[in-house]
Formats: sequence, structure tokens, C-alpha cells
Amino acid sequence: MTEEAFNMLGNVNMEIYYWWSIALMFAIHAGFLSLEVGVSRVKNVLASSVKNFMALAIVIPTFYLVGWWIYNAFPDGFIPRFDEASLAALPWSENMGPNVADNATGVFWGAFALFSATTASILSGTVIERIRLSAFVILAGILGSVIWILGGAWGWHPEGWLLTELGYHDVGASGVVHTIAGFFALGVLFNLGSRIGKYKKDGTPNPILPHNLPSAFLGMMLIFVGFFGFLAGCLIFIVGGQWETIYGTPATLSSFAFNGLMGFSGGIIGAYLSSKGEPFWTISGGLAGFISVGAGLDLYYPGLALVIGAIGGFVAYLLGSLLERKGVDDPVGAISVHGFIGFWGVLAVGIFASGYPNVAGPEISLFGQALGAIVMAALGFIPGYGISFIMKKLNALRIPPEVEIVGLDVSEIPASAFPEGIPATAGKITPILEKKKVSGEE
Amino acid sequence: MKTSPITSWEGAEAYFTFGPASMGVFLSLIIGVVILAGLLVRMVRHENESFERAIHLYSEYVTEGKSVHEKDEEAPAVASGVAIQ
Repeated sequence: MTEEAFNMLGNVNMEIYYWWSIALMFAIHAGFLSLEVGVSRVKNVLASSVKNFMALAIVIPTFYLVGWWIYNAFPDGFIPRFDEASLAALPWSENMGPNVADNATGVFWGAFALFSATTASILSGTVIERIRLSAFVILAGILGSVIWILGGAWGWHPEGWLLTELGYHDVGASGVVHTIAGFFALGVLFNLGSRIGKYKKDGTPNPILPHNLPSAFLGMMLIFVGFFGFLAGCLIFIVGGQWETIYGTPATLSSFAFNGLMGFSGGIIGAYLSSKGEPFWTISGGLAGFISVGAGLDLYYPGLALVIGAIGGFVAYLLGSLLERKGVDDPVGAISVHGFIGFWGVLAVGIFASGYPNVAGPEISLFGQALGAIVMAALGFIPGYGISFIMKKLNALRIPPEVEIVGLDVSEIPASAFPEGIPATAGKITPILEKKKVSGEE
Repeated sequence: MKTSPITSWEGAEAYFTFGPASMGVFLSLIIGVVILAGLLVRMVRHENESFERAIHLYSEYVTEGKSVHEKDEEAPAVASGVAIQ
């Protein structure tokens, strides 16, 4: 085989690899949709679904417009670079469209766009049943196309300052995606508030039960499938050479398989133990397990990954319950599973994998990981709180209480989820009532 | 509309419609931003109209909801073989 043919074959393989990574990540969104629909009450299932469609539709083009440029321009902090890589990421550059001399940019951009949409979808579940769709899409666009990708430029880039200054290691994006999204959501919930009826007058929580728990389980299973696309996209395919992490260190897909699966199992076991077998939290433990080991997927011994995942799953339920008791109404537990367990995942690398060398920075350390995790949490929380605070003051964040009581589907959505059996969505009741008024029917 | 930036595939690189950093590309981007902004405006208007209508009809809806639930509570009719509407 000639060198030219070898390179062409390698490039095509690389494109195919990321292409299917992108496709698999859509399963994450199918999963979030099924999860949120299951957790929503019947009166809000369609509104929850539409929110998920619109998150994808908003984040992908906004990430094209600004997100990819932010990733390439801000590895030094808040001051943008105007070098070749940054200019090539502007949406009018020759690399940002069909180009026979560039096999890589489109599929890398696509994979990052789906990471972005995943980040925005983490917010989606926390705010169901009471946020305005318009407020959500603005927040999703900002989180997905600006905030997380700024964190990505800092801590998930071969020249990001967290790597070059602190040796930050977060290969599977535990901090960059999950901590940022979880803490952004926490900031939003402080302003959005809880669902009507969630808390008694004395502040103790009332259970608002999912209308379809099996749908939530199916959603979680789809998210697990999608995670293999997500994690695949976290490795760099080198034509003619070994795989590399995003930090330029060598790695293998096999290491991801070992540790991802062991962490997943540990997470389920840990959550089962702490929740005493509560099924929603038990299956959420699988996600917590993936996130717990995400930052060090390339480094851990698989037995250690099981332990780290088990700690994450165990703690996820306890933190989720604590947040609920403290007045944070997060119906899907995302702030605990993504925000706090993402934090744990970054910290775990510092505890269990200090001393590993980096190519472009100091060796991995507990200090660097702890500081990196704090930066990620702050980068999520501060804009999440600040932007939602402004929206709240403009009365643009939350739906009116009457609409919340009646349900979003019957108020806003021109369709019916269960027209043959569920009274709360039996036809579009508002027009039916209007028709009755016009015709004088009783 | 002739939009090809190339006249031959020989040595072609970026070949997308209009070509890099061209008037057509900038116009497409501007229209894209306008579409996104338009979506947001339409969404807010739809919400405001829907919410206003729902608030206006709230009391009737609650009454309707109660009557539906009262009908549901007649379910024991199934046991006596009476068809349910």
C-alpha cells in the first residue's frame, strides 16, 4: 500500500469513527427525552418532549456560530487568541464547510456539538414542569454553546491553561461537561424555585411521583448506550499511530472499555446500597458510576474503577436526598449525579492517580484536580445563577401558577399525549372550552 | 443561482456554496441568526398568548377537571357490566 493510500484510508476510518460517535450520542438525547417524559406528570409530558427537541435545534447552530470558535480561541482564559486555529474555527472559514483537503474539522465539530447538546440536556431535566420554553432555550444555548465550551477550552484542550498550569486531567469530561452543567442547573434552580406542591409549609418535601417510571428506566438505558458514543468522542484518532487523549497522552479504547464498564457497575451497586434498592436511584447510579470514573478512564486499574464508581453511586443518592430536603427540587437528580459526582470524578484522579506525567503541563496532582474541579463548579454556577436571576426579574423565567396547576400540555402544546385514556390531556381542553363558550354549550 | 467557487475539481479544497468568507456565506449566517431570533420571538408570543388564555379559562378548567374526576369515580360500574362512556 502506498503512503498516500494509507493516509487516505486512515482519514476515512477516522471520519467514520467520529461519524458513528455522533450518531451514538443521539441516543443520549433519546434517553433524556424518555427519562424526562417518564418523570414528568401526565399533564406535562409533551412540553418536556418539546423542550428536548428544541435544545438540540438551538444548541447545534449556536455551537456552529460561536461554540467552536470559543473552544479554539480561549485556552488561555478570558482573552481570545487570534492564531491560525482560532481563525479557522470562525464560521465563515474554509474549514467550516465541505473541503476535500480537511477530513477532520466537520466530524470533530459534530462530536463537540453533540457534547454541547448533552450539556444543555443535563439542565433540561432539572427544570421540568415549571420553566418557560423560551427561557430554557436561551439558557440551553448559553450553557451549550458558550459556558461549557469555555471550560472545555480551559481544561479539555491540549493547550488549556488548567492543563499547562495545573496538570488538570479530565479525559472523559467529568468536570468539563458534568460538573459545569450540574452547577449551572443548581444556579438556575435557586431562581426558578420548586414545583408547586413539592414542599409543605414547614419545608419538608412532598413526593411528586413520576407518571411512568419504566419510561425513565428506558431513558437511562439509552443514555448508557449513548455514553459509548460520548466516550468514543473523547479520544483522538491518530492516523498511523496510537490513540491519544485530548491532552496528547497515549491511550487505548480498551482502557475506556475496562474502566467505563467497571465504573458503571460500581455505580449501580453503590446506589443500590445507599438507596436501599430504590429503582430510580439505583439505575441513576450507573450514570453516576460512568461520571465518577470519567476523568481517569485512561489511567485506572479496573478494580479501582469499580470502587470509585461505587463511591460515586453511593454518594449520589445521599446528596440527591440532601438537596431535596434543603429545598432544591431537582426531579431527575441531575445536580447530584452530574454536578457533584462530576466533581468527585475530577477529584478522584487527584486522589488515586497523582504523579502521572503530562505532555504539556506539570504532573497530575490532588491540588491541580481540586482547583480544577472548583473552577468548573464556579464556571457553571455563576452564569447559571446570574442569567436566571435577570430572567426572573424580567418575569421571563417561570410559567404562571395557573398554567403550572393546569399543566403545560393543555395550555401550550397543540397536541395530546394520551387522547384515549388520560382525562388531564383528553384533547386540547383549552380550545374545547373556547368552542363551548362560542356555541353556548354546557 | 450560480454559487460554485470553483471551476474545476483539479486542486479544489474548500468548495462549498459561495466559497469561504464570501458575501453569500455572510448573508447565510445573518439569515441564520435572524431565523434563531425569529424563533425566540415567536416562542415568547406563543407562550404569552397560551398562558393568557389558560389563565382566563382557569376557573372553567378546574370545574371541568372536577367533573371528569367525578365521572372516573363511577368506575365500579364496570363490575356491574355497565359500559363506560
